[in-house]
Amino acid sequence: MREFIIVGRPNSGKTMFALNFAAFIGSKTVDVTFRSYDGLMSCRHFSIEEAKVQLCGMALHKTRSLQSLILKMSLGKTIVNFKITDTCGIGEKIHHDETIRRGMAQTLSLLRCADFIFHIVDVAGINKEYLNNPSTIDREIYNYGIIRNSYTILANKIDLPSAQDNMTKLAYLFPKAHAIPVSALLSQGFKEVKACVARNI
Amino acid sequence: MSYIWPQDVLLAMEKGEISAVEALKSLQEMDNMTMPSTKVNHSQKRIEDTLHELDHLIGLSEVKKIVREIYAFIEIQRRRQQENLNTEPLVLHMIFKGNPGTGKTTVARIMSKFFCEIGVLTRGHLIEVERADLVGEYIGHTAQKTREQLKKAYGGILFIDEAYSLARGGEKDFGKESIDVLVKAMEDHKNDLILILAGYQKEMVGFLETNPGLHSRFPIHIDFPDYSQQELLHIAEQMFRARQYSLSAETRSALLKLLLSHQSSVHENFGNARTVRNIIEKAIRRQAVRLISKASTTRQELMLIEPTDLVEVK
Repeated sequence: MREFIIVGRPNSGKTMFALNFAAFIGSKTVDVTFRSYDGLMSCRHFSIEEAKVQLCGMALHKTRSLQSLILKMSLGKTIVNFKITDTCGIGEKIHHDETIRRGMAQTLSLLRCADFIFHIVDVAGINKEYLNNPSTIDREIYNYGIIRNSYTILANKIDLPSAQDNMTKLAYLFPKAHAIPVSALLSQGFKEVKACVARNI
Repeated sequence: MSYIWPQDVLLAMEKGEISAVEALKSLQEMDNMTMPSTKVNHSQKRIEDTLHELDHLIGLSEVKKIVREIYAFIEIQRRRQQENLNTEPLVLHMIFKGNPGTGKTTVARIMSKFFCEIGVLTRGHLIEVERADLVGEYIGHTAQKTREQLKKAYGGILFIDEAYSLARGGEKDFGKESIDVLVKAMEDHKNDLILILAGYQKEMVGFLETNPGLHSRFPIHIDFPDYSQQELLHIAEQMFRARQYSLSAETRSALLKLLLSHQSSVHENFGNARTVRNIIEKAIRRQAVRLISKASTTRQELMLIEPTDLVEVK
């Protein structure tokens, strides 16, 4: 089964994207498998709405371990299963909390062997400082992802007013990557993401 | 600082020595060097996972270092072979010396998986035996029994626990016959079998001295030192975490005291990590007894181990 990993900064909308994308392709409920740093696995069954309440939040680092969903997609006459894994957000600085550092290490470990990388970038957050910083975590993920052919940027929060203008800046910052504008919250742009998943299953 | 293994980079990041940006840069360099334009293949990932599993064990720094050395040695021998250079024979029979509960069997299990992944062993399983499985009851029975166990172990690791007991009974004991069969097999099947003799430090030294030929036949000797109190506490925390229990600060200090009293009172017979496991299992049972009288319990209560749960644990 192909594994798609969702990576990005904390609070860029990774979990919201995973859940709303699951809903978009027809799932009403999801079984979320949590994989902790110690290798402990637990699985919880949620409706999509419940999952959003429990797993998404405005606070930074709501997701602290790997959370996988097995989703189904029909391709022609067959139904293909694939795994989409939401990860702990990674930031530039060394985090003071060990649990979060471990979560970030888990993310990087999976990043190396996942079949496809979805890199979520908060387009509304692109400002002058971000543009001038040569070593943002997004840039490093981009540099890492671009050497693999299986990499796509999801330009999230496109529904926010400031985001529209930032799309050109995004194209300037990450020139070699294929970027899909999406709104994880409002499920906008998911048709193109679905086509991208279908091409890469 | 430069790192050799991706897992070292991730470990440094977990410890807060480097940031995610630096970690990603290092990983990028490593992955670019080995396999540009492709993802890390599954077999390499599995090797790294196995090494990571070993790294996860508390303490045992010497053991971890030796395993990395063996991995590097095997990999380089393979590359030399590809270039038609002379290669050293891969004899990987080992002696594990250490007190009970210091991780000998656990390390052997991880090693069997690891050697299978890197292609040294074909099956990568571990057969754990002791004197009773090898030594027979009448003349000729020992060789037959030992051969049976060896046959099961080909393609994997034969792990003989408390191996010194094979030479315990003196001249007329059948244990010697078993050693002879083992020595023959480890020469004849050196490409398909790894023999690990394990036992207590003192006894193993004595055992190797009684059989001078044995010492040279085992190129790798690994000592398993006793754990320090802090390491034992880490082990306990890890075990509680794996069972989804949590400890308060008071419980932690009570546990440390308990471990201290165990270590000082039992001396050589202290079972190290195994004793910790027993303490944990007893504490979990005590917690269950404490909670069963309550009509309703919260998730938090079900997870928390309190100092009172450790009071009667010995």
